[in-house]
Amino acid sequence: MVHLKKETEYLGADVVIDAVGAEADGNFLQHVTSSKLKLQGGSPIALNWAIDSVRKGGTVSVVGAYGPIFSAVKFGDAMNKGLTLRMNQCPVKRQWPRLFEHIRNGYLKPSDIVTHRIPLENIAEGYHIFSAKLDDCIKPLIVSTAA
Amino acid sequence: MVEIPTPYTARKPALKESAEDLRARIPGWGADLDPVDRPSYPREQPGIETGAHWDFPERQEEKWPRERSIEHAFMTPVFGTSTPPRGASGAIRKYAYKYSEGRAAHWLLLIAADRVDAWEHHLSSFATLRPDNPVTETGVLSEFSRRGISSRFGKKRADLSHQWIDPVVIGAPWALAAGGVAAATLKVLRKRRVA
Repeated sequence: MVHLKKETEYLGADVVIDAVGAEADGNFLQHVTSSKLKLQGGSPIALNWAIDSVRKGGTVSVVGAYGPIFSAVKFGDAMNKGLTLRMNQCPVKRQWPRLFEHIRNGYLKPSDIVTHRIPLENIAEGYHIFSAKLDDCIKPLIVSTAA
Repeated sequence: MVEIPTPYTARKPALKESAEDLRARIPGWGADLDPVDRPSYPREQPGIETGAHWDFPERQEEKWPRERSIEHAFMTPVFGTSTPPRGASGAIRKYAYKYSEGRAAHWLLLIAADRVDAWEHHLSSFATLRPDNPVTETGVLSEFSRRGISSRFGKKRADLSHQWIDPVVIGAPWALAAGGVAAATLKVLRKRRVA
């Protein structure tokens, strides 16, 4: 957050996107109450960082997913900074044709982020590699071997 | 003179890099700049073709009194039937639906029911030829084959401080259950010896 402030000459960014969501890490209390005890509908660490690092009057856009019950979000900060909060699950049908154009034009390359290809029969190990972030795993693909 | 940062000066800051420079450097930068290209603009698109051939869909047959939200006027026309509520977890789930989604009790009961359900299934698996095996089925063996230690240490991972909880949360219920079974068995054996 302080880094972001320095990068923007101590103003804060115009727009911050929370693309992490409920599984965000970095705060012991938030992690234990959300991921472990399930007393929060996801740990809003990334969202709180977004609220803190955007400039006053800026926009926070949330694509990271959260669960149905309450989360410890710094709502007062968002209100007092006059932020605009925009969020949704992806309206895929509406966005898909345009995104596909971007892929065809070479603007987006989804294959660049794929780090692991895991056969379906190794799914248990595959899931553990993914969830414990072993072996620098970022985006695994499950592949069916019976092709 | 020391340069004064933006928040304390009157004028709007200039961009560090112009739009032209960014467009030249990053392929696709600003591709959605023109609102005409944006699928989300305008937000409201009247007369959109939904593809639905019905006004109110045909109602699915309700083969058992399915739990439903009290925030709905009636059972939704279509609903899932893949996991009928069963046993103690089913009873808790049905009870949770007495509360609206606006109540914490609704969600906390459903979370508790999930835990009960998991253990109902673990226990019932022991009556089958393929009992649950937490060692092979959690995939934890990949810790050995996929650099469990070097993936974690020396990498400034934010989650390192609380990773010790994971084996406790996942392993402790199994360890306690195994300990309980062992203690009960010992007790029975001792009683027999005495008799």
